[in-house]
Amino acid sequence: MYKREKMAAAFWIIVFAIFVGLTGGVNEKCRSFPYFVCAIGIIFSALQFANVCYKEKKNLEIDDPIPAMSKEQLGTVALALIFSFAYIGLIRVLGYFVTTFIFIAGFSYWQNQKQKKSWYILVPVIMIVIVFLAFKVMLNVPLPSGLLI
Amino acid sequence: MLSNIIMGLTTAFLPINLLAALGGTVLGICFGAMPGLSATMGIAVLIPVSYGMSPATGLILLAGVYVGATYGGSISAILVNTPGTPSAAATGWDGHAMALNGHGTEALIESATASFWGTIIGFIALLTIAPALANFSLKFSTQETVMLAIFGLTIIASLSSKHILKGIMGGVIGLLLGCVGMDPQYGFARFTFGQMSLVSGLPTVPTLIGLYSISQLLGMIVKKNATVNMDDALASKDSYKIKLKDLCCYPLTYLWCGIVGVIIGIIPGAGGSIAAFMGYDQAKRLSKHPEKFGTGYREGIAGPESANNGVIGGALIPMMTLGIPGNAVTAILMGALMLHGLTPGNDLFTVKAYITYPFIFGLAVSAFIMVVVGVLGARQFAKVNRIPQNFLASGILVLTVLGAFSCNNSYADVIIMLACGILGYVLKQQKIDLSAVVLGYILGPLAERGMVRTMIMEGGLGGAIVSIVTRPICIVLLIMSAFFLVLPIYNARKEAKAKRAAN
Repeated sequence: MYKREKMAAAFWIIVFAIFVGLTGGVNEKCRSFPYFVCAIGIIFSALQFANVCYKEKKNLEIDDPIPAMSKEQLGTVALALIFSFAYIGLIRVLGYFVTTFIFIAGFSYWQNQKQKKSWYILVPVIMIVIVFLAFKVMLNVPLPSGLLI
Repeated sequence: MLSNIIMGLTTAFLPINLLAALGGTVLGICFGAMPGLSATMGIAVLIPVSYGMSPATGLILLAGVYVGATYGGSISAILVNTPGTPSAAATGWDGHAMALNGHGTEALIESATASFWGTIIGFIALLTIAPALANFSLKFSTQETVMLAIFGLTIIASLSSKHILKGIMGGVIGLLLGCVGMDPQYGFARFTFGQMSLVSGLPTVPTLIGLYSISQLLGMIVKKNATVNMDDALASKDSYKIKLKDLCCYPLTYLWCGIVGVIIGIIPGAGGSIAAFMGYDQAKRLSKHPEKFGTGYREGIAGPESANNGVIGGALIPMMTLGIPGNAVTAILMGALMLHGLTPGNDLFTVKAYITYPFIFGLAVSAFIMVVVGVLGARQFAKVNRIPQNFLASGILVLTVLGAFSCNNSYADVIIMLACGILGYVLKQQKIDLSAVVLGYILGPLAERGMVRTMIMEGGLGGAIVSIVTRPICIVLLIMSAFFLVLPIYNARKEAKAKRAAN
């Protein structure tokens, strides 16, 4: 519990420190505010770190601590993000509708394989038809496009 | 003003706008009824739909979603004691007890009518207070703008009373996000990493969709908790027939708790959950039978529901007049307003009144639709929980990608949305309040621009500080900032002391 809290505070100290370094590279007329922000960030992250250390030393409980994440949960998040980035990347190549069909079918199947197989085809098709009719035909909203449809 | 009110009323009742309000409210109730989703997610998903409509119609659609989702949260709270939205938690105390006693339909009817009255009280407050406050904001110069931004930032402390340090860290992270792109005074690029798409800063809507919706979606995929099984609750026999009296059982409770909701809504950061708990408490004090609260008593639903719906109008007041979003929903609504060419402030109630007033009346129209739809078919809305979570998650992701892309027809915005989603998820895991991050992100550039201009006008930092502390409005804002900063710290210390004493 304490270790995760300390790691989180240390992580933000490092992030703010990196941004202090990056601020040095911008025009001097607009440095003061980011420097001020980073300084406050470092101070409060350090205070949070010290607070956790104090609580650890005194064996005090942390209200609503950072929960532990299992490897399986981390893997789920990572895979969901890979799916999402691949979806965006593929839209440019395969086109919006083809990619959306593949994405919904694949993403749904990956999350739950217990439904009827026909659902994994039907639901994406219905979704695409709704998006096409609602956004493209009725509302004229620009949709992402690619080489195919 | 009267001409604007008449114009707003007539525009809101145009068939296309009524249809938008109906669609928004129904979809909002569906979003609210699903425990993994929220009003914020509903608005984020429907923003691209509003692009293709005229600004007034698009915003009425989003108003409908806000009203519908705020009420919808009570459906699952009553039927299965799992609040669809955090603000419906207090509704479940008596609502679920009523459902267990076989009075589920009665509880659902009370929830819809109380939500209706709460929304109407919020609407009246918005209609009367907001134009006056917007007009008052014309007196603000750069010094007042700085103090207003500082006041907004101090709210962070009250937002995160449990984790004050983490709340402030969240606010600072938001300020840092606001630094990305050209600086607001001189136009020099900062933290763009050579990306042209970042030169104009992080785009508001994709950033907010990412922070709120994508992070929520990732959590939903990991926990698999978007839908709950309500089949048993729906199968229970309950033959309650609605009576005319049902539409206004507790007028005093609706009125008072609605006012409490409005006041809490105006305070940035307080939000619907606090309003609902306070509403429950106030309803108990007003009741002739306080001893029945918690045992499945109808008035126990009236208080929290009218209070959390009163928040809607209240939270829109600081957002529309001063540009300070009080909660996640108003933050994303502010992004939607900007996308439709509306900037918070006095212009909204003068130059752009032809859009603003129909939007405000859209809240009232949505409330009427909500009470009709809610009273007649609340049980049907509970069935949305039968949608399998895997299809729901993929559908929402497709729509959020569409929403982010349609802002500027840019793939970069979609990438930014996903990146902000990752950041939001990490922050949520670390128990850092996302509302604090968003307040920092929105108010940061405002504070920087105001401070730099004041420093230029007054010839340095010292002169700027003197000019701020000698202006009456600034002094009031300074006192309020100090109060909101000290109060949660004082409360936290008091609570810690009490805990230690108890141990």
